[in-house]
Amino acid sequence: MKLVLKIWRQQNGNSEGKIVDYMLDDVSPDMSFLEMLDVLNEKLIAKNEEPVAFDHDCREGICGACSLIINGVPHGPEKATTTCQLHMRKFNDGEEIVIEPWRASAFPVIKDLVVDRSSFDRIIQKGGFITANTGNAQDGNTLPISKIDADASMDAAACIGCGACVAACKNGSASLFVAAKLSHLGLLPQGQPERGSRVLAMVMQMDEEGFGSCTNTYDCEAACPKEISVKNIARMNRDFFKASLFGV
Amino acid sequence: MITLDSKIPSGPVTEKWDKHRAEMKLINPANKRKYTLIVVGTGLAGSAAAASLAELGYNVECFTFHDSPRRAHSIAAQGGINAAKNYQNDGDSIWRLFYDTVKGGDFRAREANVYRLAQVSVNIIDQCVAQGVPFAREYGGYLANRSFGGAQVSRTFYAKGQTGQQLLLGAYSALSRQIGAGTVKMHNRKEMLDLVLVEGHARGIVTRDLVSGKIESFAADAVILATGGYANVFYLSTNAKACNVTSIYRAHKKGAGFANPCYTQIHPTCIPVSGDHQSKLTLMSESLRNDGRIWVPKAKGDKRPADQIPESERDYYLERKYPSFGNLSPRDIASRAAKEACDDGRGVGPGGYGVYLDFADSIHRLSEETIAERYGNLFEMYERITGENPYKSPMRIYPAPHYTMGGLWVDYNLMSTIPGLHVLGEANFSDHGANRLGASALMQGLGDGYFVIPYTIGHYLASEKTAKVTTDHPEFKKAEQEATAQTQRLLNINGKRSTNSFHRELGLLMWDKCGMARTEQSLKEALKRIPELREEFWRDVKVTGVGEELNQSLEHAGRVADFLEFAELLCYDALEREESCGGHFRSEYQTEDGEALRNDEKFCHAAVWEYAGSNNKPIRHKEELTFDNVHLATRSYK
Amino acid sequence: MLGFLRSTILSKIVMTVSGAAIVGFLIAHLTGNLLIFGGPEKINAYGQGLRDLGLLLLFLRIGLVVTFVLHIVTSIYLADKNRTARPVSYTKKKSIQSTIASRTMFFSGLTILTFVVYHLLHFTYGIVQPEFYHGEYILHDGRTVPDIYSMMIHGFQNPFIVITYLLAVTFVCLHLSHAIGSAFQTLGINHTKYNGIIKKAGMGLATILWLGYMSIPFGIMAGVLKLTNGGH
Repeated sequence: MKLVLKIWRQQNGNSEGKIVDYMLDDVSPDMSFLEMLDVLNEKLIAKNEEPVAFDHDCREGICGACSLIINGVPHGPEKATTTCQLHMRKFNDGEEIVIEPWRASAFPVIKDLVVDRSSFDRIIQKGGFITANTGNAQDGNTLPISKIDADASMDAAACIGCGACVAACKNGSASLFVAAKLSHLGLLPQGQPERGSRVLAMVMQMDEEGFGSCTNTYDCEAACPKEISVKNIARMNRDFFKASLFGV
Repeated sequence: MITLDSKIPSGPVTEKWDKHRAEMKLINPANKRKYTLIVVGTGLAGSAAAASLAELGYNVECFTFHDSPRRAHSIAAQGGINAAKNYQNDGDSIWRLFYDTVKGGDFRAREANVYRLAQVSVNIIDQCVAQGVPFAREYGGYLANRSFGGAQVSRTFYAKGQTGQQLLLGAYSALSRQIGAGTVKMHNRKEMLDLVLVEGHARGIVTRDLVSGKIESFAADAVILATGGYANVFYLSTNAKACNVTSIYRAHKKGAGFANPCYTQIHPTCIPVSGDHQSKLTLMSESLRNDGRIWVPKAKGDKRPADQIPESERDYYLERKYPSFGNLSPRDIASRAAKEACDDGRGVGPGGYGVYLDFADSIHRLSEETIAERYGNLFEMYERITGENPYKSPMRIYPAPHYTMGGLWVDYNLMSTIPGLHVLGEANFSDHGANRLGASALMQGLGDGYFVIPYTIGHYLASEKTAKVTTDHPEFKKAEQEATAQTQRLLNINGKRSTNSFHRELGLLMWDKCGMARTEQSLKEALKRIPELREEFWRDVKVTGVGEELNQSLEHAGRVADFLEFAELLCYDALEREESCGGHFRSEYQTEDGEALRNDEKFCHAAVWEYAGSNNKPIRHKEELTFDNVHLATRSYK
Repeated sequence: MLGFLRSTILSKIVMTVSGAAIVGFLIAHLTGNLLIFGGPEKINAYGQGLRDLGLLLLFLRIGLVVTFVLHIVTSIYLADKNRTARPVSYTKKKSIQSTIASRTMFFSGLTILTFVVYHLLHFTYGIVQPEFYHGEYILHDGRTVPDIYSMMIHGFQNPFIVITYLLAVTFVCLHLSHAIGSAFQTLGINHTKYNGIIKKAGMGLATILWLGYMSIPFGIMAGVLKLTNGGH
C-alpha cells in the first residue's frame, strides 16, 4: 500500500507546530497503525531526520497511552478500537491520512503527537479513590454486591484514561472520563461513604484544569475505545446536584 | 564479593512469617516521616508499595517513565489473580496454593517465600475489594471464581478480561490518594538511569527527565525497585514496548546479584508474527484452549487452506502426546510442542510459524452462540488484528515470550545483595521458581507491595541507622556525570543503523539460540555473537535529536544498550544450568519422550550472578534450595 | 456549596432551568396566539386581558427578561470556556455521532436571539411596520382596544416576513430538538426505560410548536384567516 501521511510536527511545547507531508510506499495491510509509524520513523532516522514522537506502550489496547486523531477521529475510523489495535487493512491504497495530537488546553502538546495528560491524574488525586488503608479491609465476602451493580461498575471501570473523549468533544470536556471514574466507585457499596465529597472534589478539579463543559453532543461516547456510556455523565450530574444541595 | 544470606526465619514453614513479623524491629510512627524512600516503577508492586508506605507515614518519592502511574504493564494482565480463599469449598487452602506454586515452579523456588505468598494472597483480595475493584460476582452478590491455568481448584478472582487493569487502578487510586495528600511525591516521565551507593548502601538514584532531558539525583534512606521483567530482550514479546531491564541491570552492575535470568516463560497462545514489521506480540487468554483443538497438518509443507485438509491428515499433537491433559497441557509443554511441529516444517500461516487452534468441533457441539458467549471478545480481538474470522477458519497461534521468573536476587525481606536496595514483583526472582503459574504474577506483585515490604523495610531502617545523605555527596555527582556521559556518547556515535534494528537483531538471536529450547552449542553461538553486536551498536548506532528534550530514540537506545549486555548474562546462566526445568529447556537434558529432565543433584539451587566488570564473565554463586515440605518429584502431565 | 456555584455543572443546570421556563413561555405564547383562529374578538380580548393584568404583567415580563438574560449570559460564559478549552483547532475533525442541532446550539441560539429582537420590534413596539400598529378594535363590551388581529393579518401578508418567521421558528425547533433531551441528561435523567419516551416527547413538542406557530402565517397566506370589516 501507498499512503500520504500528513502529520503534525512540533518540536516542543513552546514552539509552533505544522502539518508535514510524508509519502510511505511499502505499507503492509497487516501492520498496525503504530507499526506503520514505526516504518516511517525508521526511514526518517535513515535520512538523519528526527522520528515522529508518539505515545504508545502496551500495543494491545489497554494501557491507554496511544492517542492519535486519525482523519479527524480519535483512535481512527474503527469503532471501539484504540490506535494500537487499528490495522492498515482498514485504509485504502493511496489514501491520505491526517494525523494530529489530542487537542485541549488541559492536554498541552509536549512534542509532535505526544501530549501531557497529567490533568487526568490530578482529578483522580482529588477524590478518585476509596479511603481504605492497606490492612483495613474485612473479608471480601462480608459485603455482598449485587451482580448487576458489580457489572455496571465494571463497565464504567473499563475506562483506560486515554483522553479520546476529550479529544472528540467539540468543547474539550472531560465529563465522560470523570463520570466513568465516579460511576466505577459510586455504584459499589464501598464507594458510598465518600460518594458526595468525591463528586464535588473531582468536578471542581475538572473545571480547574480548563476542560470545557458538556453540551451533551455524545461524540465522546462514540469515540471511546471502551464504549463507556454517557449515562455515567447523567449519574455524575445527579450526584453533583444532590451533594451540592443536600451536603455530602 | 557478594554473600547470599536468605535470612529465612527458623521454624516450620507455616509459622515463619508470623514469627518474623513478631520479631522484626519497628519504627516509631512519629519517626517514620523522617525517612525518605524511593520507589521506582508504578505497576502493581510499585504502586502498592508506594501507597502503603506513605500510609504508614514515610516520605515516598515515586518514579515512573510513563506519563501516568496507571500505564504500567501490569495493566495488561487478563486472566485473574489467585487467592487461597476456598470460597468454593473445593478443598483449596493456603497449603495447597503453596504446594501448587512450588510444584508449578518445578522446584526451583524458595519454599518460605512461596508459603508467605500463599498466606497473604487472601489479604490481597480483601484489600482490593475494599478499594473498589469490581471483581466478578455471583447472583447472590458473593465473589466469583474460576479455575485457571490447569489448577484443580477454582481460586482465581477476575474482573472481566482485564483483571490487571482493575487491580492496577485500585493500587493507582491508593497511590493517587497519597499523592493528593502530599505524602508521595510523584515523578512522571522520569527514567531511572543508575543506582547510587554510599558506603555500600543503596542511597539514591539518578534519573533522566524524559521531557526536559535533565539528569537529576534523588537521595533516600532506601531504594525499592519494582520495574518489571526483561522479556523484551527477545524484542518480540507480549510485554509493552517500553518494558526494559535497565533499572535492575544497572543495579546489578552496582553489585546486586542477578538470579536465574535463564528462567523465561513462553506463553503458548499468542497471535503469530505477520511480517518483518511486527513490533510486539499479542497474547490471547489461555482459556481458549478449553474449547479449541490444536493441530498442524501431518505432511510437511502442506500449504492447503485448513478447511481443505481432511481429518485424517491432521495431527492433533497435544492430544496425541499428552492424552490426559491434551490441549490443556501446561504452558511450557504446549509451547515447546508447537515449536517442534513448526521446526519440523509443519507450521501454518505465512512464514510457517503458527499452529491451528480450531473451534470447529466446539461450534458444532455447542453452537456458535455458546462459543461467542464464552470467547466473543477474544474472537473480535483476533479478527481485528489478523483480519480473519475465527468462527469460519481456525485461529493461528504461536508461543511468545511473556514473563520472566528470573530477576534480582532478594532475601526473605525482599532485599537484594546491596543493603537498602529492595526489589519487588517481577523484577525479583523469589516466588515462581523456574515457571510461573497462571494468575500468580498479580498475586506476587500486590503481595510484595501491600503486605511484605511495609513490614520488612521498617526492619531494615531500624536495624541500619545510616547517616543522612544528600545529593551533594560526590557519589551522586559521579553517577550523574556517568549518566550524562552515556547519553552524550549515544548521541555522538551518529552511525548508520537504527536502535530498533539492533534490538530486532538481538531479539531474533536470543529467540533462536536461547528461546524455547537451548543447547550448549546454540548458547555458545549466542555468547560469541552478542559481544560483536554490542560492539557494532556502540560503533554504528544512529540516535537522532538532542539530549535536552523528549527524545524517544535516545530512551530506546539506552535500554537496548543494557539489553545487549544483559543478554550475555542470560545466556551464561542458560549455558551453565545443565538441566531442563520449567521455562528453561536444554535439549540435551530431556527424557526419552522429550520431557524436561531436571537434575536435582547438581542444580537444586538458585544461580546468582555477580557483575565482574565489562567484558568479563560474571561470577556464578549459588543459593541452595531445600524442599522440606513439598518433596522433589517429576512433573507429569501424560 | 461554594464549589457548586462555580462549577460548569451549575451553569448547565441554569441553562436547563431557564430553558425550561422559556419553553413554558413558548407554549403559553402559542396558546394565546392560536386564539386568532377564533376571530378578532377572541384574540383582541385576550390581548386586552393581558394588559389588564397591570403590575402582574410587568413582573411576568421582568421574569421573562431575566430568564432570557440568564440563558444567554450563561451560554456565553460556557461557550467562552469551551472555546478556550481547545486553543488550537484540528486541521481535520469529524463528528462521530453528534447531531447538527447539538453542535450548533450557540449559533441557533444567536439566530433566535436576533429574531426575538426583530419580533419585539415588529409586534410589541410596532417599529417594523408602524402602519399596521395603531389600528383599533371595539370589543363586545364596548371597550376600544388595539387591533392585534388586523396587525397580524397585515404583517403576514408580506411573504418576506413569512419566510423570516418560518426560518426563525425552524431554528427554535432545531434548538429544542437537542435542548429537551439534553436538559434531561443535565438533570441526571438518563435511563434506558425512559429515554425513548423523553426523545419522542421532545420531538413531539418541537413539532407541535413548529406546526402551531407556523399555522398562523400559513393560514393567512392561504386565506383561511383574513381581515374582517373593521370590527365593532
